[in-house]
Amino acid sequence: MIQLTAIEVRGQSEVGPFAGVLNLPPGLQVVSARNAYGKSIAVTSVAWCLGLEALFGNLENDPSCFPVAVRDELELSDRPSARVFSSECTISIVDEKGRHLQLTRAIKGDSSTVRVKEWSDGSGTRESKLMARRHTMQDEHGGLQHFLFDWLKWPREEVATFRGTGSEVYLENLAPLFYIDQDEGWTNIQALQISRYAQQEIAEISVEYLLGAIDGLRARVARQQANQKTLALRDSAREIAERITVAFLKRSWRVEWSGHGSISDILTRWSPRTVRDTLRQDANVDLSVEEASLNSTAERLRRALTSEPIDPSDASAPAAASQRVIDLKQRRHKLSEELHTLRTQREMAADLVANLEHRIQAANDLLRLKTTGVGRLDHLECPTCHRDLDPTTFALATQSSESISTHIEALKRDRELMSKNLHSIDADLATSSGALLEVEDKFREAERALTNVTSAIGTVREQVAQIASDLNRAERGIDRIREASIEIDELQDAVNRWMADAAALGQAIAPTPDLTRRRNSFLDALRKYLIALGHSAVRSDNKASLAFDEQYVPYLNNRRLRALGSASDQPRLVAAYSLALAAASEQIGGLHPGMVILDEPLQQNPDPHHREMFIAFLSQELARNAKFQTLIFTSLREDEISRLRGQGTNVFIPEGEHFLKLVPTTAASGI
Amino acid sequence: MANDTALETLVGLLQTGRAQPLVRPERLAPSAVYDLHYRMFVVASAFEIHAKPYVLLQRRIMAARLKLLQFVGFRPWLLPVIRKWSATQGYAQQSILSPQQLRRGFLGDEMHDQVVAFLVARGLFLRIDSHLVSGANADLLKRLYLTGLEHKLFSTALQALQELIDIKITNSMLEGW
Repeated sequence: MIQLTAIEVRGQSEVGPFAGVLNLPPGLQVVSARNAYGKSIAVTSVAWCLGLEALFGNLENDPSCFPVAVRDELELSDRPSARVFSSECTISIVDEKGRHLQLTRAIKGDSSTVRVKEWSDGSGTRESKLMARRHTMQDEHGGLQHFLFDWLKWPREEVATFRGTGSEVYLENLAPLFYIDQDEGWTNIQALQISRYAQQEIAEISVEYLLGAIDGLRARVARQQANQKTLALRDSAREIAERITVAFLKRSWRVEWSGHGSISDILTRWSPRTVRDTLRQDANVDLSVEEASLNSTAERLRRALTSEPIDPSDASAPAAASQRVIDLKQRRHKLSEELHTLRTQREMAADLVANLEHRIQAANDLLRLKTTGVGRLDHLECPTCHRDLDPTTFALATQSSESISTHIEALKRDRELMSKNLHSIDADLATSSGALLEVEDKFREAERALTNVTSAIGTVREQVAQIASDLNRAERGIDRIREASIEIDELQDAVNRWMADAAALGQAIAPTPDLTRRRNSFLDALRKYLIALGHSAVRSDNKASLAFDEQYVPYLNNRRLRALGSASDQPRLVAAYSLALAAASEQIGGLHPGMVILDEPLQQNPDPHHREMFIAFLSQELARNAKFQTLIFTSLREDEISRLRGQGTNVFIPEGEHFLKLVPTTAASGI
Repeated sequence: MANDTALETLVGLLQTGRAQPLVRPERLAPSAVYDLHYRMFVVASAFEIHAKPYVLLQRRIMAARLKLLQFVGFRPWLLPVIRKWSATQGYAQQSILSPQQLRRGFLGDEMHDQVVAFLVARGLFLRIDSHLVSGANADLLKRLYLTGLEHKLFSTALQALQELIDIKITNSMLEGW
């Protein structure tokens, strides 16, 4: 736990040096000053020195979150405003072990670095200069956040992002839970949470981090990563299935190898048989048998060509070569016809799908017209007699919403059927195209063989030419089979790798008992603080119904607490949530820094009842005796201050008209 | 649905003969194209997009042309057919080869005649010879069309009607005008 001991702002203006200091005690401290005093400068200094400008949506090192008074024009009592030449701020922190830390960052000037001074009671001082934003977490030697996490002994936690890359929990992710800014901080729980880093479930992770539920947080991140991996695996399964389908179809093998469905569905489908088994069973193609057969044929032809006798009286070679050309030509013609038919069918099926799409859209529009009444003319009266005209007189009818809904359902079923049909035609087209290419290849080969045979003189040479062509064909067939085998082996490797990845995906990760304990502690504290702050929806008799959902959003009787109560309950909820988290973390040994800054809680709804309840809360033991530091920057009336002080609450009223004052020349020598 | 009672009766009768009828009411739902509201919307849009100025701020359109336009508006997939049919109008021989289904289809669209009769009775249209002229309550037609545009209703029908502007529809195409 740490404590903020001082906030200091200083600089040089055209009329001389200026400064403002707030010394802060532990526990509850109310800083009361009139509006426009400069409280915001002090509050913003805390975020600025911690390098948290991202909370305000600012670019790196952009100090526009500060009021103009400290950047451009210094407002002074009893004299005109003065131009600011340079300015900087310092926050001083001490932890429970007596370690001191002082962070100083320029506001007007080079704001990219933070000067760090650290010392312990009774030891020397160490000074360094760290980068405020650039590689603030990654830079081991120069990053401010890297240093702060180290100094606070906070673990560095990896989280998943929506971009698929990793990220870490940053200080600006945790700060929205203990730094409530007056402009935006009160609009919702963690209103300043950063979403542009695309970290998944970062609001929940931040709560768990500050509660110290690191195991629970890691389980959550593991779940996220498993989900991301599942999505990637599903994409990968579809891609592998597509590759297999394309590889088979181009060889005119029709095989069902689907990559759709859940990971377990795909695993169940892919595990029992290999790609080769599927090819054998579905397309009746056994590559090893075919290769063996072709090898045997090639061997026989080789023998016939090289060593076996040739019958000079056998004159059948030209006729056989010619017949093969004729057979292949007929096959090619048949396949071309089939392709033509399939293309026509595809065109018609695609038209039909487009037609159904139009009809579904029109019917949906009609349903919208019926259900919303947009553009509907219900009362149609005769222009002469001004009586309603009944459409049934004209044999016309209007349909009910139910009738149109059922019609839409029927159309959708037809569309699904036609889409499947279209898919099937596409597969047939691919198979037939592959077969046609193969036949054309064989046909060209057969034509060359016929030319060779008919060019040969004498029956022996004719037979030799025929055998040589057959041998050439068999060897080419073997090459094709081997090429297919290699491709299938590669695909099988991809399938095996996928199945190994899917099997390693692991089991569901359940919440840890430690997380449940910490979560319950937070919930108990929230109940106490909501009642103490006077939230109108939460009372002692119904506080047991208050619960968190998975995102740590409080619900009361299954209704989001934010939606219950009056408008002034919103800041009560935000304050209670921040304070309860600090209290719970303190109780269970969490990682909360131990300070909560509430900037202008009374400005959110300054009605008398709201003020009264807040003042009552500040005077209660729950607020006064908290073991963490609560800093409240507000503007109280004299009577409210007296009342609080009378009840033992620390109320600090800074001196003067403005937080920043000119420093007398003698005193300024140290600035 | 209105057919439910008749269906229940039929189911009861079948069950007496130990039959086990399976009723699929979704298969009995009529097409949306027979709905009066849908019809009125497309007719109003066809009129607003294609009608020409007439005397005294009125507008008019040939009744047969409106019948063809709305028929295609309901069935945008017929646009290529009508485009081809229109292109062959100057060539008698080619005209014979152009699709015949469309012309038969739109001529037999009796529901359109009933819708027009209803709109005439309602005062949205006036019949003058072979034309339909905007009637006393024609502002409703415009309102219907503009509401559809604003709420993006029946966008494919509207797009088809817009595309029909560029397709020349001759009198000979409007057989029987």
